Amino acid sequence: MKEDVFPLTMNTWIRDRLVDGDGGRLDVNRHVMSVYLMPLRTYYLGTNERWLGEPEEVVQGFFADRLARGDFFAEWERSGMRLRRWLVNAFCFYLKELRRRKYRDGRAGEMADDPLTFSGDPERAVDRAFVVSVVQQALETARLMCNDTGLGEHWSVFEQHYCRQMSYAEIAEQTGYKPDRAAVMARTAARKFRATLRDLLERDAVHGDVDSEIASLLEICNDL
Amino acid sequence: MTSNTGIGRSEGESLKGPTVTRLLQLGIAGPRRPVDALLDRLGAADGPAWFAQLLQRHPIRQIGDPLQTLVHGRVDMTALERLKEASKRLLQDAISENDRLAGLGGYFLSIAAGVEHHGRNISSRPAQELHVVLLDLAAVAPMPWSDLLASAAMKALPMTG
Repeated sequence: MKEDVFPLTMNTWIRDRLVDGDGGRLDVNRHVMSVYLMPLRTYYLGTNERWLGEPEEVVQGFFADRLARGDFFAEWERSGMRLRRWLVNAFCFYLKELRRRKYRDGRAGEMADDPLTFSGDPERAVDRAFVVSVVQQALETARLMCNDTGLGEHWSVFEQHYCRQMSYAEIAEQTGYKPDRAAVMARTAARKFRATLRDLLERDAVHGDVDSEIASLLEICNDL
Repeated sequence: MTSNTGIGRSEGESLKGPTVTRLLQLGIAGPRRPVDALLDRLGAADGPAWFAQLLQRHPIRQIGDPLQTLVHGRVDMTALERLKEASKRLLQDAISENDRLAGLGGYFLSIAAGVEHHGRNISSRPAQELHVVLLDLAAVAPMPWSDLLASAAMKALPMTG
């Protein structure tokens, strides 16, 4: 796997949470499991190791094993890699361990010594899945944030406009809000969404240059 | 993953490729604009109180009762142009951040009132750019100013300058 070209810095959210004891560690683990399940699942389905088990089970097994290790994130910090790249690397090692275990248990058959291969471009596949996952997570987090701060209606208008591509006039017909008010409501919710999305991207260790990261991720969106 | 592949969402809907792209684009902040400082100030906890003070000071007070003139439109284009120019001067000569923000506030309110009440864009900003800025301001301004800015934002769109 090629190295990332941007100089990366451990992002402050994960570092701050990790020094916050068990509760912080749980937050980080929850974040990793919610955002990176889909990219790792996609990676797994592209490999010749699909026989090792159901995708969700294998990825969850990986999370249970690696996220429990006290030095897992410290090693990531030392690696200087984007979190998604680091997780895929660690996942490859996990798959090898899993295969060896199955071999020892007499369940691996002749495939046990085959090298791990991936059908297609693994980085691109993982990045595509990461984009979808991080956007979904940002939608969910921003939705909850809007609901918690009395902006639930704003969020509904945002979804109608940006996700379902309804015009403000159509939204006005459906909701009773004037089109200009609907536009302002969508804009307010969009600001929350933007902040959330950028925060999630920073947690992947793209400190300081989120716009560049989005620009590079947009290039692979053509494949979606 | 193809363009027809949907990703399951909690409400049983699907997040399609073009939607993901559109939402990802929303994340781009771009270079910081001068108006962003005004948006931050208005969005602060004491934003409404600060805005109330803005309405009572130079340059906005030169136009009379701001509610009657700017919101209800009892003002002619000449007065709005004067307000815009006075605001620009304050912006250029400002010796404090507060003066700078007051200049920005007066500038955009005069433009919004021109669009809303006279159907004219008295700024040199392209319609699309003006639409976005006024909409951003509407999202943080208190009522009834938010309504004025939102309505002007929508009316600015078909204008050519």
